[in-house]
Amino acid sequence: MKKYLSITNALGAWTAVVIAFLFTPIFFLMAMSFNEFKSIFRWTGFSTVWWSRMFDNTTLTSSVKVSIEVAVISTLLALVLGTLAGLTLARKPGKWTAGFVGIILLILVTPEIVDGAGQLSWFVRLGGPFREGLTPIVLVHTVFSSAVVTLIVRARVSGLDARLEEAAADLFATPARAFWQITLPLVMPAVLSGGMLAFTLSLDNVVSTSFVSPAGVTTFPNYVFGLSGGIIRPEVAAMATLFIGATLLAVAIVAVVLRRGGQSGSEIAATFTGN
Amino acid sequence: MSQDRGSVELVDVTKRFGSMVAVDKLNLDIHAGEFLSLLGPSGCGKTTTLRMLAGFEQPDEGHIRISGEFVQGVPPYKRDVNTVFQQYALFPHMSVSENVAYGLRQRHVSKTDIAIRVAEALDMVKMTKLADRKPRQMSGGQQQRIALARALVNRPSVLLLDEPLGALDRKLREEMQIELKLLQSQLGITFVFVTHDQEEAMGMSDRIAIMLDGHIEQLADPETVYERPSSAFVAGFIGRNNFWRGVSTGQGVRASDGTIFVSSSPEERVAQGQPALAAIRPECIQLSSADPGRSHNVIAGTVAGVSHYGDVLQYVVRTAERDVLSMLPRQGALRLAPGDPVFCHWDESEVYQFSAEQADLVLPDPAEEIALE
Repeated sequence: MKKYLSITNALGAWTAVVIAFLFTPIFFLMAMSFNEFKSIFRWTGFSTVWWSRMFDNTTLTSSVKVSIEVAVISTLLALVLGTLAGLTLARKPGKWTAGFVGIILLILVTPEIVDGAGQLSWFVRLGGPFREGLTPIVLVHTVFSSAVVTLIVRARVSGLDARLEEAAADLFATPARAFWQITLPLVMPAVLSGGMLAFTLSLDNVVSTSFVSPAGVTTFPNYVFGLSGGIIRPEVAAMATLFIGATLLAVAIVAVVLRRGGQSGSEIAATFTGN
Repeated sequence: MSQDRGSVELVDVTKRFGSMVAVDKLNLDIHAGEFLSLLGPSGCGKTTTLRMLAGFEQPDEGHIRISGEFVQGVPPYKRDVNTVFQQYALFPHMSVSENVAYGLRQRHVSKTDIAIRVAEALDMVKMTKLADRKPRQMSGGQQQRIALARALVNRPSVLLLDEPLGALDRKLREEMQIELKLLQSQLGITFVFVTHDQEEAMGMSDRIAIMLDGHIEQLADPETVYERPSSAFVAGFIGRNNFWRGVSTGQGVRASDGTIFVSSSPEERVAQGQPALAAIRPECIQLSSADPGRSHNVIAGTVAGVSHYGDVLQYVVRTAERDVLSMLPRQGALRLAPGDPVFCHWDESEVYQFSAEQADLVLPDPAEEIALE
């Protein structure tokens, strides 16, 4: 008994160490947003001045605007494409299934730098709108996001009892109504978690984005990345803190939506881990 | 409504999956308002038959009429039948009352009528108290009742039940059997009940269709299939039976172990000298310590085991080539212990004879027999 307890304690301590390892840099960054000094590399005293000054830096704010617009548009596109693909893969598999899943996995394992270079050369060839505004960035993000959503939705639909759809048909529901009333609500947790993943993947993408970004269009991560090597001012840390807060808020909203939909705590946790 | 609302007619219905023939030229008339069971081992085609009635599968050949109407190509959502699924298939994101209301909602029944009919249906299955629960918060037995209410609330012409009691424990299953039968006779709806459990089928059905390899072996009321099984398979599947392999003597069967079976109603379809099977039900095998002093319808052995099943005692008697099962009422039964010598004997009227065609179905490998227990 005593030995068992000590193992439990050791595991608990180890967990604390791992969590500290993961989160200390984030807390450090958050703290640095309240630094008085103009760099996040040296602490001189407490100040909230950077929290208001960050809004005066138009390069910073416009990069945030680009990031959010790209993330929203690419997530919506990925949700439509990925949900339909996931449903089809799970419910109407055929000879093409293996090849299609292969392509999706290929998208996920291809190094981003290869992705970015390939897509850039393709977009240069296409020219026109593919070299302007948000379009190329949105397309690049949509490609990997829809791959992620497809896999998550497919996993969920495969786990659904196909007889639920038969039961709906048996109870006079046309195929369209069965889809809207039974299939879609039951797949919704996967759609939401896929959407959340797609959104965060888009928000923090750097490598392939930097390849395809047209002149004058910069996302927030690419703006920050461009600063590395020089001075990073606490306003960047403040904006990053806002981002973390927004992400946590999004997670909370999804959890509330799921809870309203009657999911239990463990089911919500499963949603966030993509199961 | 026409007079034959609830009747079902299958004519030469065949269904194949790839090269496998699931249902083979099946013919079946189900009367309006009857409780009919499709009974058979797994793979006999009973579930496929049910799914064709529901509309989930379309027959490759033949035709089906429900309430007199041809249903060829009619999708499930346009059929006036409802199904109680194996494992229930309740919608997990809907409450009990939403589940029950689902079919009525699809048919655009008014909200007030839906409320009244859902309340009636829940009352009928004694689930009113749980109307606001979600399916996952309920036991198997409760889910079973909701599935029943969800189907019956639509007042279908035919209710299809796909092994609905299979997931319940024995006691609950027996209670539900009684309730199902009562419900069916009160509502007068045709029930088509798929099961592999012969006790379930015997206990509830007006008629039983015993299926094997995609066709019906025998279609009759429970008493007839028990008393006058039309084949060795039916005799072995309904209730229990002791089978002997042998040769027809015209008067009965001479078994391979030398036992002579004389029947009061010899089977004329098995010619003298042809391979044959003899069968005696366990409850027809009498035991006595003294030699009954005759040369036929008797076999000597020693008691190998005695089991108590409340009102009956089951004896396993080891004879020269095989074990014989005897089940006798507790009252007046001989007190026998393992090792006691004993004579098994039976009346001429209890001897069944069959052709040996289905010998492999009813005389399984001893190894397989243990696996089945």
